[in-house]
Amino acid sequence: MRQKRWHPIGLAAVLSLLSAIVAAQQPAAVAGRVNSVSGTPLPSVSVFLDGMSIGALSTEDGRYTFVVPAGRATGQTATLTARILGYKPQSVQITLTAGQQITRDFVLVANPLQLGEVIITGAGTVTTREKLGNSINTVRADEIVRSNEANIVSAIAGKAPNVEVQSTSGEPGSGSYIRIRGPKTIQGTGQPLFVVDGVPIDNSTNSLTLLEEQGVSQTVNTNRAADINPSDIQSVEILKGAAAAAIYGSRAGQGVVLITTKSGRPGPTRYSLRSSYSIDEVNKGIPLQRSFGQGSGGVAPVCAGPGCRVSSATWGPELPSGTQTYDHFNELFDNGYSSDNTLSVSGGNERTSFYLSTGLLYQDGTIKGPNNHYQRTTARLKATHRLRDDLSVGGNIAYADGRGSFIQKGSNVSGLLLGAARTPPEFNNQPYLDSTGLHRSFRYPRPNELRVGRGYDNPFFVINENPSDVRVGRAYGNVNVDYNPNEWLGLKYTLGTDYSGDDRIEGLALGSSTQPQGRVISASFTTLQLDHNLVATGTRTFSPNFGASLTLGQNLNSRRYRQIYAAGFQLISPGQFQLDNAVTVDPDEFESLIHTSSTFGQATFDLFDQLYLTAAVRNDGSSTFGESERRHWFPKASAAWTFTKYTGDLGGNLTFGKLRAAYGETGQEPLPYQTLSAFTQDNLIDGGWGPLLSPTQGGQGGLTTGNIKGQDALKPERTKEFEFGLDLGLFKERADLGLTYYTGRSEDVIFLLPLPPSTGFSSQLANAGEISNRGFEATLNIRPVTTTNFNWEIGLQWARNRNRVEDLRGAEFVPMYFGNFGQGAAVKGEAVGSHLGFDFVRCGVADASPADGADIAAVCAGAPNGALYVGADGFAVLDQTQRIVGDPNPDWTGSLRSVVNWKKWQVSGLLDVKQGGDIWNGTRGALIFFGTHKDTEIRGLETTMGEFYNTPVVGPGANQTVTIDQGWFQGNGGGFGDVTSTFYEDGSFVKLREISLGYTLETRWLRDRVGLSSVDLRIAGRNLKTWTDYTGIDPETNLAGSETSVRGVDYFNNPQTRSFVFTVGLNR
Amino acid sequence: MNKFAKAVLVVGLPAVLVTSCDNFLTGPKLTTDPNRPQLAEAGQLLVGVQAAQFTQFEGLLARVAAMWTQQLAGTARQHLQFGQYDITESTATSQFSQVYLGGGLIDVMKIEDITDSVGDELFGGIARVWEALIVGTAASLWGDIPYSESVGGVLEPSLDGQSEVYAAVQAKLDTAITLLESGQGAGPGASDLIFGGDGDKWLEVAHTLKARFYLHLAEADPANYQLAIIEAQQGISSPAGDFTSFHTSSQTEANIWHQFDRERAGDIAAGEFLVNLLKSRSDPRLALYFAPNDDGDIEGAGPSGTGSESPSNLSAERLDPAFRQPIITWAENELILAEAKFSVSGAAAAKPHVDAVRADAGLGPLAGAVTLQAIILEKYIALFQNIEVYNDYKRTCFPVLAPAPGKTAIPGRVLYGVDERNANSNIPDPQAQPERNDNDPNACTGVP
Repeated sequence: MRQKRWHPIGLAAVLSLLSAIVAAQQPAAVAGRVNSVSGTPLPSVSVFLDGMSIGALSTEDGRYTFVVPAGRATGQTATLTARILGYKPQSVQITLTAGQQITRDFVLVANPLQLGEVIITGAGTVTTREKLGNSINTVRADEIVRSNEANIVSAIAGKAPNVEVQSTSGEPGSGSYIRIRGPKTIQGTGQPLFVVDGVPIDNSTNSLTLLEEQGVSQTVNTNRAADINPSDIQSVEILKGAAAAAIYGSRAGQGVVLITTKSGRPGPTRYSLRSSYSIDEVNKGIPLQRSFGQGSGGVAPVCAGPGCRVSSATWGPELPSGTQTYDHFNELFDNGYSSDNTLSVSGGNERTSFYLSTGLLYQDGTIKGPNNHYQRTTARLKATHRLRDDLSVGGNIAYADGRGSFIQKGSNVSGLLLGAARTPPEFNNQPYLDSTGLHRSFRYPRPNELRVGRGYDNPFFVINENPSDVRVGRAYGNVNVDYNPNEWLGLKYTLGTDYSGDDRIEGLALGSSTQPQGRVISASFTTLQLDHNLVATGTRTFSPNFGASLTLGQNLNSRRYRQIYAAGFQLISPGQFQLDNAVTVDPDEFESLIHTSSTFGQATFDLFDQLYLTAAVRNDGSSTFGESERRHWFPKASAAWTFTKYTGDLGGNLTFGKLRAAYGETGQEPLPYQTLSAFTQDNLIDGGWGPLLSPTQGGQGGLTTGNIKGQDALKPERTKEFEFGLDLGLFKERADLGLTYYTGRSEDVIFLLPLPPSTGFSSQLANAGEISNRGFEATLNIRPVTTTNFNWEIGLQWARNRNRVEDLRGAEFVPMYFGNFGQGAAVKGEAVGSHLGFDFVRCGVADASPADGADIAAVCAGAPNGALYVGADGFAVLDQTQRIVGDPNPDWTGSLRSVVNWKKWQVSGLLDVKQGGDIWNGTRGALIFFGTHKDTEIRGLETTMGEFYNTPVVGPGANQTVTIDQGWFQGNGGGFGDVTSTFYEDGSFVKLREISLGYTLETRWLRDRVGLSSVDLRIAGRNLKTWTDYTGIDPETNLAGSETSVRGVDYFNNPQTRSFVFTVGLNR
Repeated sequence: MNKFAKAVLVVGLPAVLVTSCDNFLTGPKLTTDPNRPQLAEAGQLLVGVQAAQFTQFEGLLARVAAMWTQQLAGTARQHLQFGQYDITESTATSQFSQVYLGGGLIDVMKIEDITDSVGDELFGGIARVWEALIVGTAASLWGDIPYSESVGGVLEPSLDGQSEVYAAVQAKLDTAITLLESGQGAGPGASDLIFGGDGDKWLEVAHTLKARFYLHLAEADPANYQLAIIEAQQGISSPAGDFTSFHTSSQTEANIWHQFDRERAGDIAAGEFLVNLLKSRSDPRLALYFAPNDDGDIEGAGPSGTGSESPSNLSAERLDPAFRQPIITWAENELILAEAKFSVSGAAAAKPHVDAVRADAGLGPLAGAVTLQAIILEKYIALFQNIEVYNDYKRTCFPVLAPAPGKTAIPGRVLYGVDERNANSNIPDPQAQPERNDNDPNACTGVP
């Protein structure tokens, strides 16, 4: 039998067939390297196949490699794109054939204009920067970290035009206020919606006082967004205008702050430890006189014996030289320090990625004593896993533990500076306890009783004996599912939650002046938010000239708030601050539940690769809307035209040019339960003087009719805004310029429309206000030098907003909060938040007429407007009509930022400018009354009103010489007189917010011997210098806290600080 | 099953589950208020009215009245200004509002509606006495006030003339008397913190109140003295029938003067005029009203806060948290009789009433002549801290008081509250408001 041989051709055929079969079962391999234009390898570049979710990150040497499973490499053409922040993304077409090795190298070009970069636009939608039809400001991780602020809101200061940020005080844990494009609401909080990784979070400021009195007394409070560790943040997107924010409908009236936290990336696990240590000190104090002593009329008081009560005034004799005097401001403060440590571990592979971090912040404040500190411990885990090529799941969990201890402040006889700054210079506030352990103060210098008021508390007593402690636990996060059943459809589901518990104990010790019998307040605030968001997005590119997308979404949101508050009075044992230890307890409980249900849709059209149109609408229903107003629509539309695609780049001088126009509507939902009239257990008060009676008396339950009449047709406030802008990339991208003009009108603004109290109600909520805001925003970034080793960047921002109350439906003004600081108001024709008060009679002021019956018009004939009317006694005269005396809104704001990178060195700085905006220096007013302010050193001055106030004068006593003395300063010339206008000062400032010098150490020795890829070293200053004409503490201050829209009030506020910061970052 | 259907199942199911609740936007705690009751009983409202009005009758208005009549003096901060008549339309704005708001007329009228509907005449009578006290006092301080159109759905209630208001108040008291005389119904019981629902005592108060308000009109028309006598003769018959506020030592039930002293120690002090007056008479009430200062003396301050280095505070008794402030008293009733009889029948008829009040205070009979000034001085002392003292001063110009330094006269009325003026176009601007009220045509010159 002939041996059967393989036919060679046949064999070859079989082999080739076999190898083809094997090859077909082998994956395709894609590899290459990514370099920058200068030839340096770029690590961490994501190189992915579009629409296939397959790819890898480049390594330290710029190389990348990944495989495509055989089943998915079917000879099709795919787009391979390399992306990294700061460089223009680049795509190539490749053909995926099983078993083939494909090599593609990329050379990426820097992208200072951030074109092509993904921008999060909210509610599950994204776009790229050039397609954006409205302005969105992005603040990046490095900018946040460089601010050295513990509070994310403060970290934004000076980084986006028309985003005003103001921290309440320099105390650790104090809250920060943010306002975007001017005030749009009157009695709401005016704070934007905060969204973290797609889920709204609570940024309210819990306070032991009512919202309208928040901050007036007691202590500073923390805004809840401060629970976020700024080191965990990747970027912050600020949706400023109504067009940008409309996708959030009735919750976006004040803008939206979108926070994206850091994620892990495939590749080797990275470790990073960032530690900073800062030394903090008070940056500006209150000027006090040291020449005149306690007493009245030049006579020192006599303390007759133990228990004597002596004059609260410092209008006594001039102190003999050599008298020991004390610096009653600075003696309260020493250096504070903070340490901030964040350890993060992140990494992952093609299917799974994670970011895990833990942070510990400890701040010891500048106020002496053991009760001024804040500690925040945070932990965060963010992870995603791709279950299948078309389905991934993610989880995102954060926990924060906040603990603070705060000092009493403000309009508060147990406040720190109120008593301190009123202390006569020769009175030694130390020791604050006498030899028998009794609290001594300058008005009660020889105490012989424990349970009596001291007039004002000794500030060292305030510091040491009146603890106010806060304990916050917060857990928030989400689980999410991403499903991409095919290339054009994506479904995204996010279920988020935010829970916080905030426990307070505030003690006033026996013998404190507010509560001589002692008081303890025990309170607990609980919030729970649940948010369900489902979004489906279909995207289709029909031709190179036409692409479109359609997004449909649904959102359900539930917010529960509960507050249990109990004040215990008359402490039994002196040192125990617990309700059991109080003779009487006054409880108060409040809860609310709000549900909203929304559907939204958005369509986008990309035309000719240069014209981008977006239209969206949201329909919101809320339990807070009136029954007949249950659902409302919020539309938006925008267009962006990259005209340089049409005109060309004009020789490199105009590489990019975009015109944009947008219109949008947003809303602000009412507070809950405003649709109902009801009875109340609220206390009955004696005006604003403090005394009050509960409606329940003698064991008999009592009720009164609530002063606010229910409004059953309440609907959301609505802001309608047009925005036009121009974005340019100039001189081969060495500069970019953004200009935006907007004009908005807020309608249906809710406020308590004052009713004549004679109707039985003092007010009724009504959608009755109209407010306009219009303004300009400009940003200019210049990169004069961009070389491999040397980079210099300068950023300029400028913004102004003009605000006006257009209509109040007949009301002359609407007060914004009450108490004895009832200045803030919305007055028709003026800016929201203008201060009402009293002035002297002046010429040219309608209906001003002096009480002495003079004919003001005749007296003023020929005199300039504003001339002061001087009565026969030579003094100016009170004008009895309440008028506007100050406007706290700035004329413009701006900032100048510069970063220089030279090799491994970095120098950066940020100047923040606020021009205009009045502050009521009530501190000065009060101290002038008491005679401790530096300004009272002139006592006994013989002058005329014209000279004294440097103003033209008229009237019978126009040129009469008067003596400026105790009488005048304790009358209309001082802070307790009716005239408040004289204590308004210009609050403009220029502030060196940040300055830093950094060095990055990267050596072979570090890598091989220590195991660290790099070490960052940085020294920095925070708020090192403030230039201002304001005569009080730093003008970045406000008594009213971080939530109330009343601005520009300074009344014994605790001061601001500046810091020197040293940071070490270890990276592996 | 195609991929889209799977997507709907996997991702959409939670959505469907949540939205299938029909009432996501409505329901308990969503569209009903868990914090505020929607219903109130008459007794609960009465307790609230009392708390509000005790605050009113012991609060700023009483302090200002006492400072302007120099029983007390403002010695620091805002009250130093108020004591020198430097007030604005903001000063008493809460107090003007409290006449009408919850705890004021709106709730009194609700009590009347509720009690009328169940035929509780005793309770209805008591509510009307409260209404008369609140409205009559308001008319005495502000003159023309909204009343006939107030608390009734009129958006901007117009001002009623002061004399119309007084007439309406008298009519209200007549109704109250009729109801109280019938005495039908369960009455308020313990929710009446003053008399525990004792209709006889309320009847006496109603008559004294009628007499008080007739007296308010006597400067303009002395015929009112005769009407006052008729009423006062049926008025409060003994100090046991005094209408006083109710307080306890509990923090939120404490006397307002006590609370003010606690919150604002040193802002007000004894008035020099009253202290000197009591000293000159060796009146034992000096020590009942005022506490010794650090030197062990009782001293007062003048209206500009000067005159004493350490003026006395109110006495421990008057600052006791549980002190029940006299509002309508037997002493007032007696001195109404004294003044009215003095005018109608002469000094002899007045003397027994003056002496009765003096005897009650531990003083012997009046030694000098019984004059209008002597009668008002007795009342000035006996009604210490009571707003009525200011009304008596405006009517009679007694006691003779020198206005604060630099001022020509003690104010004749209080400005309308800015909260009312801001929302009610019927209220004139401060400059356009009268200097005095219709019942008080004559200014006091400060000269006897």
